[in-house]
Amino acid sequence: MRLDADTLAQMFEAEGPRLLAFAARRTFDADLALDVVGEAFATAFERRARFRGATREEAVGWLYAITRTVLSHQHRRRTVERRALARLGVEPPVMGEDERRRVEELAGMADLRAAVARELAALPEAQRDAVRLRVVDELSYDDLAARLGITPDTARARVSRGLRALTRAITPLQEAIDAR
Amino acid sequence: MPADLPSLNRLTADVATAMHAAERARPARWWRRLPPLAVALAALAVPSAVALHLTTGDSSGETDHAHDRVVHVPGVRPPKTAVAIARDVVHGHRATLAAFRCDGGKTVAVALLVTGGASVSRCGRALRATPDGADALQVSAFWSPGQTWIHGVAGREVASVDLRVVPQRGHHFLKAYWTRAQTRPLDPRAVLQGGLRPDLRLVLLYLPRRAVFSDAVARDARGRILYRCVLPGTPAVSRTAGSPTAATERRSCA
Repeated sequence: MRLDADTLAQMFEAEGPRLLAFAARRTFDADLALDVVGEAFATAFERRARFRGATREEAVGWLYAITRTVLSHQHRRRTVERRALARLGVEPPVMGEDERRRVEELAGMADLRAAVARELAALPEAQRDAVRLRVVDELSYDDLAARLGITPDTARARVSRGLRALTRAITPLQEAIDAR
Repeated sequence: MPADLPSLNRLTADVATAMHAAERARPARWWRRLPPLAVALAALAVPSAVALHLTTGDSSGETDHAHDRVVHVPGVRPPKTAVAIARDVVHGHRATLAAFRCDGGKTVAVALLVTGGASVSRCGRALRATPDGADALQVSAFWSPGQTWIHGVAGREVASVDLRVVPQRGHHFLKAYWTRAQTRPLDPRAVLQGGLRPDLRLVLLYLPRRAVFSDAVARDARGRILYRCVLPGTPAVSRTAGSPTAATERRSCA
């Protein structure tokens, strides 16, 4: 299957909303998810010659794989690098409040947020405090350690264990919503 | 497109527009450029690969002026007058020395053409010589990967040319040695066809490795030294082996 601009445009149009919800479920942020989707579109266009699949389903799977890669970069850098979009000369639009709510609805964010709150509450107190201070209050590890009276290494370990536990609990729910 | 996701719709439309524009503006693939490239190379290769310019006519005693009169052929249209003055198969490599007149017939240009390992004809630059005086022998080297072709022309009295060859390994020069190349006359049919001087003799030597030469000694049929050319300095060897312009060193015997 050859992925030219026409084929990709049709695929993006058909898969865009699902892809946006998919990204929103992983970023917990509709604006960030829109950036992820735009970057994934542009990256797919740049890499279209490398696609070796034969069917549209494979092409869609390939597009999701690219989106996951963009998401992983976003997680690592805490921002979406819009390099491919910039090369394509496209500036992502700004989302309105109504649309943001619609994306959250499509992504099943209410369920996810409830699940996160539930799992957070289920964490051991030491991990829960560390995760809250690190993720919600965005403290550095040094500040977090000083606040809790522990060493920075211990702080890192607690945050890491807490986030791993949350991920383990939330991933099945994300996948269940993806499959709807 | 869902109406409740206007930003996504706009993003999708913008990306689609940009993709179509990028596809329309995509650069031509390399093979689409091949025909004009081949024409350009052919136009350049024949004249500019020629390094052997022979001045014809009565050029005795006017070595410097003769040099000045040699025209380096860009723009020359050789096909009507180009003739093969020697053909040979050396160690399985086909080599042709071709000559054609230019500059209104006052100059003869000679090119060495060898088939490289990639089945690409490479043109080596040769050199020019006046048949008399100090400029009677000129030889040059052409490097193809793993090969060296030394070629040139000499006056009619020169039966052989001894060359001091310096083999190379990478950028290191190895121990030099002497080797001899017998000269031979031009193909008489080519002399007639191309209107060439009949008394010049060709020098062609193939070495199955990369090498340079530093000295050339012309000998007559009895082995007597007619003249010696000492080439000053160690020649700079281009890294771009096989390039007809960069990898060729012209040697003059002044």
